Amino acid sequence: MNLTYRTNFLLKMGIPLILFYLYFFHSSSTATLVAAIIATIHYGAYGIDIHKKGNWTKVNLEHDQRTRSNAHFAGYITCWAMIFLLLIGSVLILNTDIPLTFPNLIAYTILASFVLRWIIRDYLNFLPLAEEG
Amino acid sequence: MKHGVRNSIKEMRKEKGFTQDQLAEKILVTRQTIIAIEKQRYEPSIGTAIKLATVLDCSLDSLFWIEGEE
Repeated sequence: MNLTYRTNFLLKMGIPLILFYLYFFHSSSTATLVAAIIATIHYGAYGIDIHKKGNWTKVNLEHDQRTRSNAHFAGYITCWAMIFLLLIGSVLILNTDIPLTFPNLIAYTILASFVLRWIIRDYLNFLPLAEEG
Repeated sequence: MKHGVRNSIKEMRKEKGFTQDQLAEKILVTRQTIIAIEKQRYEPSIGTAIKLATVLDCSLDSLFWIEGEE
């Protein structure tokens, strides 16, 4: 779904807020604070860029027919990869001493499939930019 | 391209003085899609093709053709 730059800006506010919340109320590690500061700077730069270009009310076009078909293709590849991983994992669990349980295998497969889908989709979406140099 | 469909989007766009960003904004697609179409790596839907022809003020058959056909 394509949102306006203003809506995107408001939604992106959540990232630094969550990081600062984590720093002040859960983990007071320096890494969290650094991540929160970087996210805030990035957020500010994003806002300034929108303002400079006068894009607040314009639609931020991130999805169209091509990107949707890329997402479907990535989902198709991921589906087969998941089936393959589950099969291999099951065979390994049943026939070897590998320290892995079925719930673990399922959880890892789901996580891996999300990552794989994002990588394939973004690779296909941004391939034209990379080719252009 | 698989089916030999070619286009002259890049030439027409330059003739009209549009940037890829401007053209993308006018037909509501991403800039990457314009790049992919111009590089003959992606065949747009008929709806997008009509929008392109309208924005670039030319006919569909002058914008898209099948390679080897008149």
